[in-house]
Amino acid sequence: MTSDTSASDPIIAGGKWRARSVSVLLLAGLLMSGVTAPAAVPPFVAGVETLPERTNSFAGRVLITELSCTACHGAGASLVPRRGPDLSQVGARVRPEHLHRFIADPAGTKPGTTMPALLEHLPAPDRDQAARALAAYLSSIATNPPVIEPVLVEAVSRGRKLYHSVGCVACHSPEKELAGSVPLGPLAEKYSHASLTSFLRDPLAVRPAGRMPDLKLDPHEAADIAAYLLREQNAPAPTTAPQPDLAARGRELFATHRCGSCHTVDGLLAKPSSTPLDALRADRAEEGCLSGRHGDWPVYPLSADQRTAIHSALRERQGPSDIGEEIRLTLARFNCVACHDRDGHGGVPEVRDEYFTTRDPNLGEQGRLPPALTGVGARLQPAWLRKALVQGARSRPYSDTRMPAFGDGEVTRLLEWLPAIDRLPAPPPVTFENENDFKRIGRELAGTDGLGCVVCHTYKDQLTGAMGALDLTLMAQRVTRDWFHHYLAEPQRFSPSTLMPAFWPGGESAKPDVLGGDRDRQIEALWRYLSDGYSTDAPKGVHREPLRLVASGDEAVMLRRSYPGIGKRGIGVGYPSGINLVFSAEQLCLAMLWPGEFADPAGVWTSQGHGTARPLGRARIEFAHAPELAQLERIETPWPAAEGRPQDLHFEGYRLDRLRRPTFRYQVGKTTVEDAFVDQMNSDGVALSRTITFRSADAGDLLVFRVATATAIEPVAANRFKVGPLEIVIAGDTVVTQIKAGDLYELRVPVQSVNGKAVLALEYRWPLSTP
Amino acid sequence: MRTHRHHPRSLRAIPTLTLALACAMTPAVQAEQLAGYWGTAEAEAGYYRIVDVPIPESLVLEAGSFDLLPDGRLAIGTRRGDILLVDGAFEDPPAPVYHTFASGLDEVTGLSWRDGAFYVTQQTEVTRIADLDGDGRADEFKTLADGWGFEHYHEFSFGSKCDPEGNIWVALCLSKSYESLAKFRGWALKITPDGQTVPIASGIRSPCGVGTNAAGVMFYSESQGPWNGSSSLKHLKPGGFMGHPASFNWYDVPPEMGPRPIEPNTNSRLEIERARVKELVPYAVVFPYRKMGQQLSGFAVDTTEGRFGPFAKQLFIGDFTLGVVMRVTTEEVNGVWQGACFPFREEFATGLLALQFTPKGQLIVGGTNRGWPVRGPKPFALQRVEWTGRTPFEVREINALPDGFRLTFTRPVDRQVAGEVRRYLLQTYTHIYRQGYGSPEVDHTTPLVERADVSADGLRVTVRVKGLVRGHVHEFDLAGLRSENDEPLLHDRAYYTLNEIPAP
Repeated sequence: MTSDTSASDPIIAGGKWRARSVSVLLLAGLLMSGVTAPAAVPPFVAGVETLPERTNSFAGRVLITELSCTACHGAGASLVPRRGPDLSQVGARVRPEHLHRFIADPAGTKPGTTMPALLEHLPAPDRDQAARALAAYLSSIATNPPVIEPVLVEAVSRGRKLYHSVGCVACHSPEKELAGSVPLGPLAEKYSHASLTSFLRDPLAVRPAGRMPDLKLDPHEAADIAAYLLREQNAPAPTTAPQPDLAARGRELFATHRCGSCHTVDGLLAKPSSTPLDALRADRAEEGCLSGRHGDWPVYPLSADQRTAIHSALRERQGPSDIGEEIRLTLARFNCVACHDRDGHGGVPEVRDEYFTTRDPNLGEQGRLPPALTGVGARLQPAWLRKALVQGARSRPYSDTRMPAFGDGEVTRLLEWLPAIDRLPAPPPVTFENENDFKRIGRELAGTDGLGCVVCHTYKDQLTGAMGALDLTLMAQRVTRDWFHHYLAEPQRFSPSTLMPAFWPGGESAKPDVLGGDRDRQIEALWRYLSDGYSTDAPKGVHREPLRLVASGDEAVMLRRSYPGIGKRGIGVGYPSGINLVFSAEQLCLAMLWPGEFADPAGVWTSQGHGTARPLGRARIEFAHAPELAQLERIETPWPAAEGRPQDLHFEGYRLDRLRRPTFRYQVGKTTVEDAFVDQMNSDGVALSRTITFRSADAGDLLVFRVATATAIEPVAANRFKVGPLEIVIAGDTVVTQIKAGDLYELRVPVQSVNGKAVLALEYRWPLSTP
Repeated sequence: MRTHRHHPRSLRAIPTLTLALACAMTPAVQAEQLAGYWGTAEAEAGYYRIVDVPIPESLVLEAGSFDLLPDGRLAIGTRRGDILLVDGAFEDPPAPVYHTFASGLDEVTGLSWRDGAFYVTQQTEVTRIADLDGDGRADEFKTLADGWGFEHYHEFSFGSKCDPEGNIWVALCLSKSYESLAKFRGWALKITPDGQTVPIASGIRSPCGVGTNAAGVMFYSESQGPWNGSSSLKHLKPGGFMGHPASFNWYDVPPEMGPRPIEPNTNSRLEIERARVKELVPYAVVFPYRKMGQQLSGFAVDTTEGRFGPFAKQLFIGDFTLGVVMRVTTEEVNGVWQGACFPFREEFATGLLALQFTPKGQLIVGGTNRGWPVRGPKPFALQRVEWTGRTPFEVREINALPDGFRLTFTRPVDRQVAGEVRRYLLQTYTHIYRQGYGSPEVDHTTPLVERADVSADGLRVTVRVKGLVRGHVHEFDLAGLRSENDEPLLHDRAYYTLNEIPAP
């Protein structure tokens, strides 16, 4: 850091002014003006408040940009002014009464504001009139003024929680007033809920300087936080009607007061037109912004320390500083130091520590606190660093506090500086023969049979164990290879609070049999594997969640998929009574029946879906996967051989009843079939009633329905048969024929139609005692 | 504005066996480095923002198809087999309320509402699904067509929305990349509203989206693999052959398709074989592998009449592997469809399968990352692209001329810069047409840009080119162009497939 004038020795250029005199003059000025004196809280610049030394030139250089001095007093690239918000749509965002009051008396309206008073040279009535005109002008350039609407109590409580956790209180005060916070001002008189919500959704659109960064709130979160911030908003004040004449005068005032030096309206920005910063002479400070007097210049109610700091910076002049200093200045200006420590400076202060929380307490302090920025230029890949800074890319979903987006303004200079100054020695070169084999070893090391990275780190957002540390597939996109090597070799050296164990203590590998136990080769194998990011195969230990699809409530559930032995045209139905079937839309038959839970769809709902849906439960009956209906000469004629997809069978779909139970509809030759399956729960078991309705205009050959094929069929009573544990009941006086065909027994019934219609009723009973 | 852009350095497409939704053969994944694609996401976000449409935690929503209902709701067909109806998906912010209309279907990859019912393409059939009792849930499932077979798990079907006559066009993936083991594998079929099945075209390999362009002409998206040097958008010309001959064995079944075409020669060029095999339809818009996606998927015509920005009537197509959306313009020259593709928007949260424009002029996208390598980190997502109202400086479209191209821009170019021929870097190449998997770019030429005439309004430039190559992709590198406000193009590459050169 450059040398500076200490607070105990406040002599400045030429020895003419002393800090004490400045204070006296400031006080005198305030008394003379007689308006803002009691409320003149100095402008609050967060990055200065946390400095160990607030009066030196470093502090001054932060103030010079943050108070936008260089917007009027042009200076070099190292002192780019912060400037104020874009005002193109301020009339849609801010209520006109607030605009008027704020312009007339910025510091009185919003104590701590960095907006100077511009109208102090005017007598009080004129000042009020000028402010009114400026407010009228600004309100006139937006078409939709904010409309006050009451906020919901639930939204306030959700917003309160978010406000105190996502990162707002890193800079702003928590609900319990905390000194040293960036002031919010009287939000309730300033915004409507809608306009504050839209500001919070995209603060960079209005404030491109990035000092109010974008916390990437989703629309609901923004609305909730806005509701919390406006929780005490009262009924709206009457809106003033548009005043075109006043607005026209305001427009002139906007130009003559050079508001456009700091504020854009439709992209226009005035060029610096005052004495360049370099040419400012502190010994001429009887007048102007630093004089403490009120006059025809921007009046900042600076504190003595602030004045000293700025004088100190002006005296030293702004030569090109070294990169380290520029980085520190930028971190102060953007208040990165509110959350991040770098080289021992900054980080979450004790008074705000409780607001940094985590979703995963298993991860310890690392899961809660923003990471240190020490060495970050060597740690992060340039593209990721940019994503993090500019777009607020996050890699720590478990941390409640979010990395915000700072936009692509001045903050991007860190992208050049950080990698230039942060260096790590290159890791030793590693050789290998076949890259794919090497990656495979890396994958083994990452898995539970290797070093077990997946136990703590997520893989494509999936948890393996209980911990959800930084995602493995993001690793190589985020960090540099150099850093990966150094960090894995000695994690505690980089993150003293990390829970990550050293896998190579003293250089000895926990897996001595892999790659000869060579630490650097093992780390490199992991790196090569992880370099493929999302397109890697999962390491061992990352497993699929088992899936269960079961009927819920009193409705049946359906799954049309490939089933074992049935193929692609299976239609599975799980009934709430605890009986399940698969109907084949290819062979038009009941193909499978089982009691208990329905199906595990993992084979078709995960990966490419190349498996089959698996019936749950241990017992099941599989019927022949062949048509159930055939035209035969006689009842015992051999059943037509099934080969592929039968030509004269057509599946026509199904209807569902109120409880989602299907009635299938299909065509067999000239016969139309409706086939309804309804479940029943009886005291002695579950049952499925099947009602098959055949319609045919053409009475041709004998139509035969094959009820069952099995290795054993045992008659129990009249038209009651046992097939394994299953009992099949054929209703009415239907004549059932049992025949033996090869090794199998079959039950056949003739379809006897009356006036072209026949109905066959079957019941499949599964006793409860059967598993 | 700082924009950082990175173009893939390699101009060669590597014929690795890439597995994506529609081109899998073996579970051995050739993993790839996917980081840093076009590198334009940050700049794109200023013009088109991506908004998440929230999905309840209990819902697995792997969108495979979309449509709109007359009452303004979004309908989603999912890979898990649901049809979901969504209220509030287009609101700002999205306030979706999901309602299950139907479930238990087999991968809903085509969804179309017409005359009070959904016409649904699932894997095994095209089904007309209706709610007869009006309780908001489907109760009638009528099979319209199921005349195709299955022998291998990777036999996905993709269906279009209803064409003006109410037909659904279905594209059927081969059994494997190289074979057609079951009926009509590798064919496109037209299913009429009354359930007739009309074979349209053979030669399909692995489709992942079917639909029309703004002129109502039916196309499908095809992925790199055997007989497809790179992915492409192809015109489903009735009676046509789409390039992969494995499906020739089904010519006996549909007599109206005429005789079996002669077999194309392998290790040839499409341009050469199209002279021999008269049914072969040149691939309308070729997407050079990796430069322009790796696995094309669903696509949609911008019907928003400008509410989505300056690209009205163009096609927007998703990519499954890279989770990007690209832009396509098509035109018919000498009776053959051709056109250009352009990068549009990257960094979607998952692999994209389906796209749908909304009544409010937004673009809904959705998909999943399961099963194949996908760049997007989320297992599934529903997102919405919204135009911010700022018009990016882009090449809006490219049209072929007898002696060059006409480039139309979204905003005026710097006329002096755009008048300099050195600003137009043009190269051409094609791919090997072969049985092997994919192809590098071959037969490179560098045509000479002789003149660049800028229109008075700065919106059009006519480039006179010596050395146009019929059948080649013409790749434009326009990094040297500037808008009248001195901005570079948001995307400075464009790829025109010149199947035909217009007659003078």
